[in-house]
Amino acid sequence: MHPDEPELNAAMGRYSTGDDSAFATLYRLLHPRLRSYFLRMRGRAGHADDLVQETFLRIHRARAMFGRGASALPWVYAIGRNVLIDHTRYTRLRDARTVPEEQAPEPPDTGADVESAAVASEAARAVERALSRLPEIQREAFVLVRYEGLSIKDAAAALGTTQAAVKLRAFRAYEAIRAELAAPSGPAIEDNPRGGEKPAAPSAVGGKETPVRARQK
Amino acid sequence: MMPPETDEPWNDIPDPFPHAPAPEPPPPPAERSLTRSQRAQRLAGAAGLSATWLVIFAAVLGFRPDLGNTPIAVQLAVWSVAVPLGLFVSLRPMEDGFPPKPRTVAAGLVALFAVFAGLVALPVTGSQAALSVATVKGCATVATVFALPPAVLAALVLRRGFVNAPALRGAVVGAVCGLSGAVGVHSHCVVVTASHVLVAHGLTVLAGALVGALLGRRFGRP
Repeated sequence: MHPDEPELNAAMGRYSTGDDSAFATLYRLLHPRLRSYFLRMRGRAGHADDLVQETFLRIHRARAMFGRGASALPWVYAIGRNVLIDHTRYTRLRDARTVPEEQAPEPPDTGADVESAAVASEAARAVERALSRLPEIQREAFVLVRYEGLSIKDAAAALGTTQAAVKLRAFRAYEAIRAELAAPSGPAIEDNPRGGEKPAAPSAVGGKETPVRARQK
Repeated sequence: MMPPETDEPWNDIPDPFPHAPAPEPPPPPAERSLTRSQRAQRLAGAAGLSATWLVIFAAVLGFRPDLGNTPIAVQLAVWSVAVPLGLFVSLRPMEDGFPPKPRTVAAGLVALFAVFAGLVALPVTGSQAALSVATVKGCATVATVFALPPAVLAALVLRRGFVNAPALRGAVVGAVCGLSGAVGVHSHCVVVTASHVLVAHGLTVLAGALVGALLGRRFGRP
């Protein structure tokens, strides 16, 4: 459990009972997480700030459904995931209806300075590229477990799937990213936006052990 | 193959977007939203109104004369219990704050169909009628009228109410509303032929599940 989770859970509990003063605490604790989550899921052209605002609005609308004494993080990420799903559907619909020559370029993300600093290293850029090529279901499992620090159980609750599926997806994402980082030229991950549980990369790359092998020893 | 439980061995993969400090928090959204207690009151109110509607409409139509017949009473009693039970299975909050897992809800949905179809097979003596378009149309229409107000109330109260698996949860709610319609028409229609009860009275259960799944998928997610 993260050090700030008790405070977050308490704030969400108060907010769900109508205490609007808890919103500032929620915003302070959730904004960094949600923004990073959307950036990892959609990249810098993915309107992360808009998605964060939409998620806070939905949290506000759905606060009555937050269970008494429940853990806020998986619940919040489940709502964030719903925002992503709706955004993806809207984007596809918009793209299908738009004549190609009328398409405008994506506006730059306003928080580019922070991100520029964050992706300063080449390795981070490579991970960003690798993440963008992962199947959606693998990427979301990996992001929640590796970067957002959710337990397998909480990630499964947020994604509405089983713990075994989360483990498998996160593990395959890990292997694919490792392969991408180790590949001397060209991406090792196939573009596969719809995903599926396709086996990705060899389990040990560049002589380095995967977490699984390390753990099994 | 056992993927890792902890994130320690994953640290060789850098984070391209680490958490940045939050900006100054804005005021909470001005939009009015329910609190937990208000939502509970609405759910209870909708359930009460639905039950009242079913009883009043059944009384207006008139109860079947063989209501005291044991198989009929068993059917109506079990189906009536299955309605709140189905809602409970699909919607009750668990310890982690989420409603029951999709597998549980799917099992609940299958159980609803099984309970309905299973009890139709009970041997009952009474009026027999061959399955025809006219009889199906008549009973299915009455069952729909029974089910419609509960369905509308459920749609209003549970809109944006399924954090995950919205189609599945919507299907259970729709099936439950359809089952309430089936209970209503079954408390009125004297025909006991299994095929008639299964199709003419049970059509709303299936239709309710389908419509609920569609509406849940479209409007269920918060």
